[in-house]
Amino acid sequence: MLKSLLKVVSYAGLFLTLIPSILVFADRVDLNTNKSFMLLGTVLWFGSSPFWMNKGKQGK
Amino acid sequence: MAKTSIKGHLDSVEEFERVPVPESHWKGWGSFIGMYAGEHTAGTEFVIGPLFVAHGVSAAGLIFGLLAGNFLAVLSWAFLCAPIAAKKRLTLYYMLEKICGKKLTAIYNVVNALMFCFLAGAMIAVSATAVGIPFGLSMPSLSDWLPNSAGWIVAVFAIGAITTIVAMFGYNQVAKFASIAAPWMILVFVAAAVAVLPQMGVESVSDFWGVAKEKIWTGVPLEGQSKFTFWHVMFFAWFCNMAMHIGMADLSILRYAKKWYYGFSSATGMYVGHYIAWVASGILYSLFLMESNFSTEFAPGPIAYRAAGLAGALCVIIAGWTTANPTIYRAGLALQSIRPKWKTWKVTMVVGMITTAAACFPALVMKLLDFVALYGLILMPMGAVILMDIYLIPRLGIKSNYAETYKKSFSMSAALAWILTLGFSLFLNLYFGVEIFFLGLPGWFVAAIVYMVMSLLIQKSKLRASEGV
Repeated sequence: MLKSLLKVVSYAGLFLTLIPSILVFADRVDLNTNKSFMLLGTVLWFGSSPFWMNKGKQGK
Repeated sequence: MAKTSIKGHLDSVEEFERVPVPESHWKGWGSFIGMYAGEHTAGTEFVIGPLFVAHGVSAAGLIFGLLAGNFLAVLSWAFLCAPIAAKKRLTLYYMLEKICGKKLTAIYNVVNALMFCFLAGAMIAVSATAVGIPFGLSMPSLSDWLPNSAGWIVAVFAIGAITTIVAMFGYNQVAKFASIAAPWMILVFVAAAVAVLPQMGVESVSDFWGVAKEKIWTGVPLEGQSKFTFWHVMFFAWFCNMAMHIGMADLSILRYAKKWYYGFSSATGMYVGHYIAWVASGILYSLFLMESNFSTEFAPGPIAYRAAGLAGALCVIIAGWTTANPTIYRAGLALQSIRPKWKTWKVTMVVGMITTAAACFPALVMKLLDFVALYGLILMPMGAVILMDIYLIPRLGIKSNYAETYKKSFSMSAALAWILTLGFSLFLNLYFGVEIFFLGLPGWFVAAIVYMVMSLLIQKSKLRASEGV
């Protein structure tokens, strides 16, 4: 359950990293707002992905 | 207590330097896809894409040159390097020791480690351009070769220290971090480029090609830069990692692969990192050139920050970091194989210090295209030697693993193959003006042929001598 929640947060982070730039291209969002969304996406991604990525795999 | 615990952990880092990787430690697709995507979506991508723009490649030359060159690179990994890695499961350095002998391998390893250090150094320098932003660091320009401030050196040393410490904990830590950062990094590259397209005059998708031809990849080099064509781009894309695929350095990585065809996982690095990221960083640099009235400043950090804010600057730092890490790790393995009793982490620490010192010089960044091509060319001949030794030497009725078989510490065949290939390449360059990007292909055939002929001559004469006795 917690892992699923973390995954949702991570994917939301990736979404916020990419999608606002497309909205800038479509003239729906300005460049500075896009930068803020990208930073938020970065924080969400690195704040959640290490807790579920690479877990349960064979390590050396 | 903590000190003892950390040292104990470092001492226990087992990298199978002199034995085949056991099946229990083989890794699945995921590790390699993440590793290649992360490694080739790197700090250098923020340099190479812009340098193509500076060298005046045309839009068609770039798009189709990258398509062809990256395809050839993936095939080189999949059909040359990975099958040997899965068959032998040994590091490049241990295989060379069996074929070339300890003395020649030691020479090769020093050269190899130095090249890796310089490459990793370039990536640390790229990261430093982003770290320096909040401190108002004076950024290097296209003509800078020496460090231009004390602040630059401090920034480089900070990044170098962190990179080295992570690399000291072994490949697994590197792979984990790279696989976590990779998906985010490529999205930052793409997002940064997409977000600035309107400022370049691209209002809709249909505008892109026209703007690409007229404003981004114009076909006109910047002042003082040579002109690049489709062929430059194709051969650069193919050979920029020549040391790793044709040169077999990635035996050390792919020996962990469950199957040989995991070599195709290099496609993630090629088509994401060496295609999308080069295109994206070229777009960002073109905007910088337009806005700065063609300034000669060349600093990926501020360029990414201008387009994507803090996320862009972080991307430059992390992109440099995730490539510098495995490169330092490889350099550590190269040196450690000279004295196997040395602890991997101690060697890695020394390598990290050399790398950090090299990173202080911006010349590594400004001449990156030439350096990358040179690095592949210098290390490639030994890849040809390994390939011939495994597949063709037994068919000639002579023995593979010459040094191990005959208990020799120096293989003259391999040494001549290496030296004559580099001599031949230098000759083509000096007397026929063949650019460094095009020397790898003829060089490979020279290395293969010289090694085969010399091995045949040397081993047959040994056989005749022993029969005579």
